[in-house]
Amino acid sequence: MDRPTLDNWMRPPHTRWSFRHVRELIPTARIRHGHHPSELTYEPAGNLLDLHFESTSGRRVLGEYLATTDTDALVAIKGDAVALEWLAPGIRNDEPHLMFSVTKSITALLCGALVGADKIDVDLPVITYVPEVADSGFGDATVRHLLDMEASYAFVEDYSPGPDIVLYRNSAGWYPAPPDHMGLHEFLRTRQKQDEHGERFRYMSPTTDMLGWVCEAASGLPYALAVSQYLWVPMGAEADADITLDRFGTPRAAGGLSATPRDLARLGRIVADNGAGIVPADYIEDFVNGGDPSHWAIGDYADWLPGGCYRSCWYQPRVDPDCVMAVGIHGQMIYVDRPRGIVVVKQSSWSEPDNNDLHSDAEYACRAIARALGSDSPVAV
Amino acid sequence: MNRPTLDNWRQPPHLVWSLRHMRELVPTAQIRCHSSMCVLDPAPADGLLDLVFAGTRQEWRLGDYLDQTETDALVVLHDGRVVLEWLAPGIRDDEPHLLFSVTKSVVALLAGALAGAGLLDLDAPVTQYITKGAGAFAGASVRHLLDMTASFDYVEDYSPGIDFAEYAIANGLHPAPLDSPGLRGFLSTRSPEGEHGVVFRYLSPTTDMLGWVCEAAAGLPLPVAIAQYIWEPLGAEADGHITLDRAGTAFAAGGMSAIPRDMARVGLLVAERGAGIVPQGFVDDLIHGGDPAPWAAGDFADWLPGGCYRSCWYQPRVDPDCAMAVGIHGQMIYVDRPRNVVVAKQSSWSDADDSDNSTDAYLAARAICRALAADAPDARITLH
Repeated sequence: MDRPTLDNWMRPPHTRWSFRHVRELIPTARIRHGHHPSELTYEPAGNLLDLHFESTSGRRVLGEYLATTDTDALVAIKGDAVALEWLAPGIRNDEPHLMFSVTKSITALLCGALVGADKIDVDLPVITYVPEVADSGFGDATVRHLLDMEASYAFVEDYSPGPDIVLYRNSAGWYPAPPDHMGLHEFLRTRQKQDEHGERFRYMSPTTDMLGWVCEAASGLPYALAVSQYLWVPMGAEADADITLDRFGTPRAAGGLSATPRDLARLGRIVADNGAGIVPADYIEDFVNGGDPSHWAIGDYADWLPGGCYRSCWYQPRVDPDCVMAVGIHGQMIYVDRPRGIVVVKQSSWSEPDNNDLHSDAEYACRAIARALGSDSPVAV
Repeated sequence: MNRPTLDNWRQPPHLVWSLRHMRELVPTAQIRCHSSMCVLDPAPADGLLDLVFAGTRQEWRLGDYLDQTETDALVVLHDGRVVLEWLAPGIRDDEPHLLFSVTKSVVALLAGALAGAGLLDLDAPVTQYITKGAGAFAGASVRHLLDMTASFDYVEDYSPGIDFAEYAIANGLHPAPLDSPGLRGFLSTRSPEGEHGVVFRYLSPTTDMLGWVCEAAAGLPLPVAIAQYIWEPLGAEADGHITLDRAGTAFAAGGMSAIPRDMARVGLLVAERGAGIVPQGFVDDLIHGGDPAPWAAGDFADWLPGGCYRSCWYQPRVDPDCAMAVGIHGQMIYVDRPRNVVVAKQSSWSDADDSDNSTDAYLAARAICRALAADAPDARITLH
């Protein structure tokens, strides 16, 4: 039985197995759910899989799209009801699936909960919480810079992978590294400043690992315990989630969380419900209204999402007002349509990490689902 | 937050944390429980902690013994009900705890279940299942693996000695260089030494070979096979897990973690003669069967004189019809079948395998069984 290893787990054809078995590849901390899962009823919306939507390559039918684009699971909820739960053959609904950079959006919700608990002030310097990085590129950044991906230091996020990503993944325990390799904290401490913070959107994953470190220091809890206590238990998760750790126990707060599709839908509901009493309402409302689109316009992803913004680790497509999304490589997404009270979660094992058209198609599919479910009439085909 | 790392996790003072957080140190596979668990009703036996028993070095009150000897959890079942669930301060009842070599006893029960399903012949040669890479195990039978009478060049020295250090690197419980051969490579390259089937030689890799045989016979990864054949039918209430090397090979000789009550449920399976999960004949045999001669000539004869090791369970033989599973750093399941008592103990002893400590754990369990069955003239408490 040759299963994937750390040497090849993120490459095809291994992605489908690997993304649901990360704990078998990398040490993980358990993110415990509580004893009282919030109930989701099941009210399937008739012919949703027949829904048509406009993709980057023309008109597609949802069922055909899901079946042919390496989707593992898709769950759409409206209020407390599951309107669609689609699973690829062989995929179970109780397996935590790696969410890659959707983890960032979860870390940012944790940060919000800690703001609500008066443990973090996002306008303060990072070193208020983590003095260890005073001499690094993060030395004069604020927590807000981390949240909005506007910290600036020398790093190239190239998933091909480029040398920075290799060093980063070696530090995080995601690639095979010699046993004495530096860990994530050392990696963060040794980033060098480049240009000014707060001027433009620079998508650099370690920025959110820094945010995770801030959350741990501010809460006095390891990341997994903090996510459990501040999000997973209060939102009524039905399963444990987990987060990958480096060899010193540092969590990959930028990309290492695995969770079941329904629990991610519950997480999206926090955003749909103005924080649901778990995260301060104004922190959530700021996702859709806050941020500076001019920083986005000169940033890394302006071509992919023109006119958009990235605020507190959630993307604002700004096409539909009040809709936000969390996006991870290889096809992970939480799409939240707040006015319609709809959350769509997508888990995938795309061979390609980061193809703009694939990301856009996922967004368009989720938007079409939200609009169809949000209309008073049965699903419009 | 300086938590333990793979470099120091098995040294004090880290053990008490490490043994309940193995998944944070190494890759692990989930051993899934089923949604329908076997409910263990509480029936507290008042005064059990006041039980007095004679240990190897002193007389102990059970409560003091647990408090003072690095016990993490103790669960006692009598007639299938929980008469005592003791947890050290800060220990939760829902945290999987490393079982070390009690893992062997679980894997042996899996072998029994696979035999019951017609998938494994316990008398067949290892090479019937492992056609490539059996190495020094090539001339051994599955039964030799079960009874720890396979023989090869290896010294089990936890201090650690050279062999054990190489083994720990291979199974993933010690930091490994990038070109480490992994557990399978380690097993395949042992050198023959002596005859199989003659002497009890406690060599942990033998049970890894058994795990490999079980995987091949079941056609399933070990964690999935344990879940399907043992954990789900047992009605375990929590997921367990097992550590993996870099290639994904489960550490069958010592990598499983389970919560205390599920550890007790494993004992209950033995007390209930297989409970329809493992063939009754296999379970009866692990209590009565086996040849005491290899034991008498073997590694642990001084520790348990007149005993035996059969299908990865120890037979004290002082108490007929009792069996126990033992792991280093103080892990134990003690099953007293006539008295229908199961004692499951999880500990984080600083010493790996001090024989007095191991004996004390055994004496404590034995005293508990006798006190509960009210046939102990020296029991200084009255139990209702």
